[in-house]
Amino acid sequence: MAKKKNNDKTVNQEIKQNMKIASFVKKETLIMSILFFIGVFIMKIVFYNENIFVILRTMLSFFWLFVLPGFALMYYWHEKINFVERFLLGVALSLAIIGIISYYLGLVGFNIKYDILLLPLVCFAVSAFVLMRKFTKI
Amino acid sequence: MASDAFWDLNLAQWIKDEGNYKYEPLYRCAGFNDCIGFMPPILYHATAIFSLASGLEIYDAIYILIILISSLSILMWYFIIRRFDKKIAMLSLPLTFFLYKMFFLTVFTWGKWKFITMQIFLFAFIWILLAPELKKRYLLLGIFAASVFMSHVAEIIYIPILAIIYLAVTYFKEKDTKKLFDRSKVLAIAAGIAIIISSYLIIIIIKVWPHGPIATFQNIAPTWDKAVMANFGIVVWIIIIGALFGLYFAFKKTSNEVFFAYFLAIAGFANLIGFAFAFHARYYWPIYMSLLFGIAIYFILLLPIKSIVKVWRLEYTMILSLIIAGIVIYSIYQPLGNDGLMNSDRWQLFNWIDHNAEKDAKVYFFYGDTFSQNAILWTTKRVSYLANVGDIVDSIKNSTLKRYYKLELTGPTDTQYAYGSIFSPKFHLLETNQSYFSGKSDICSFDYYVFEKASAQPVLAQFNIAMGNELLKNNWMQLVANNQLGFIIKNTQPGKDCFPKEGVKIG
Repeated sequence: MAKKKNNDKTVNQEIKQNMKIASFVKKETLIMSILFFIGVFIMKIVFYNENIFVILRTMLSFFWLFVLPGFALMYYWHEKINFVERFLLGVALSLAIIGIISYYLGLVGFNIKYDILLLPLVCFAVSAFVLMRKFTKI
Repeated sequence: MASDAFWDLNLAQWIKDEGNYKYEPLYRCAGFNDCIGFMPPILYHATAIFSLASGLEIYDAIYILIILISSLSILMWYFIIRRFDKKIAMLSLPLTFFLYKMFFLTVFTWGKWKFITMQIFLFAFIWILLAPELKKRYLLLGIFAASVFMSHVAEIIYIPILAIIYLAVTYFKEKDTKKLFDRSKVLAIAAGIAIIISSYLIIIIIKVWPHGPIATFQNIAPTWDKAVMANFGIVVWIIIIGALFGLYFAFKKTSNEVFFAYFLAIAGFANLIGFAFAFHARYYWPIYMSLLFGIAIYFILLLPIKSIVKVWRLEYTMILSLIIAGIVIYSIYQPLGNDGLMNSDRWQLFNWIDHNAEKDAKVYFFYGDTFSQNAILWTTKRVSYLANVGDIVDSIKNSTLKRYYKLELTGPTDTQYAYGSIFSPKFHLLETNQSYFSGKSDICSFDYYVFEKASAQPVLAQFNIAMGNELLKNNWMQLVANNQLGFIIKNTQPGKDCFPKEGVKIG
């Protein structure tokens, strides 16, 4: 009986924690989306003659390659660093990782056109793996 | 844009076309197709991938990337200062607008783009350095240090100096030997990670750049085209006052941020003691010195106002910062004057060659006002030969159009066209007969000739037109492109006798 109660307690704690993480992710996704549209808005003002789809594609590419991969990896330190700081450090980290890994992959004969999809996905996967391990430990 | 810009543009374009940066482009490497890619690669790879993903041309992609990176770097520096003091951080921001004033602005317009890329990594390194609370921060420190090296090699020297400043300042503040040991350990691990990450480029620097720019060690006084303190105008006095007041924060509060600002600002003067490449740091003085500016405004303006206004809120500081920023922008704004090295006509001519000439074509460039910055010639993506201006002037003096002019094969000779293994490279420049790279050459042996009809020195333009007309007298020479600025002639039978050996006398 006592064992079952303990199990229930653990499951409840897990659910609570998952809900907390989900709400955190939801909040940050919303802020990130707002930042994306602010970026599109500013680009449209600067390049007012440019087609909106060109601007959308440009910003999407920038976020996909140089914001989200690093931001995802910086998630490991999310308790200590706030959103804006993680965003900025994430850009530096994305640039570093995309630039360096694609250079080395190129040296072994891997064409950079595949890096567009591959490298951000690898970053997300690494981030998810590290976070899962971190939360499992907790 | 200046030569450096075309250097970067052409390399990024090459990586986009080739899919990697194992080798230098054939047209940058005297026609050899096995020269080792020797430049720090981050900017080029990032630009090539961004261009592919966004569908933008390389020249647009690189500019957008650079503007975004520099803006985010300024924000990053702001957040670093913010850790020290929120009000001073806000008051620091207005000085950063000087980045858009001559000659600081040349960091963008003349293409010091690798340096701009390096900055975001340097600031990220500083940020993480100041955050001992982060677990496993050695990972980030290692990645960012390696990225500094792999984006603009010369500034790697900053990393150990910043680390030593950090260790010294925190030790004097805390007097805790155990913490000093722990922090040293973190930095040692980070150094190890950085070395592993950048090992390939390190070997290239050691083995392939034996006579390259990194070996330069000479005192260089700033020339007319370099950023100097006088570019700040009267604001320089505010910065000096800030530097004096900053001593209070530096020593009384043992603030790392202030020591870092001092170091980065002083680094720009290192060209006077032998570090030729230190002039790059000058371009970023508006950012490095912004903390000192903020400190000065804090003491000169904010403290007196605060003593009058009883309740001071952070928003008031923001308004004050905006007002100062407005004044700065108003006083420094100047529209850009000209196109730089490239204009639409020249672009059209070079693009014609890129899209129409055979891949292995040899292109002969006669005098052009901007051709001395010869990286622009690589825009044609063909091996380019540039006629020696002195030799042309001599022939004008003798009223003779000659068949043999001194030529120079345009390419970065920094690495002497290294090829083969990076561990024991060989050098085309040393192994090949020097007449291949420069010396008098027969004009008839080339595939294409590029002439400019307009010049700041009309006599040279007239020479170009006369030379072109003389070549066109041969029926196997074809005028294949022509616009207001210049024209291109195609030699359909290279090697065939196209010009009298004794030359042609002109009136």
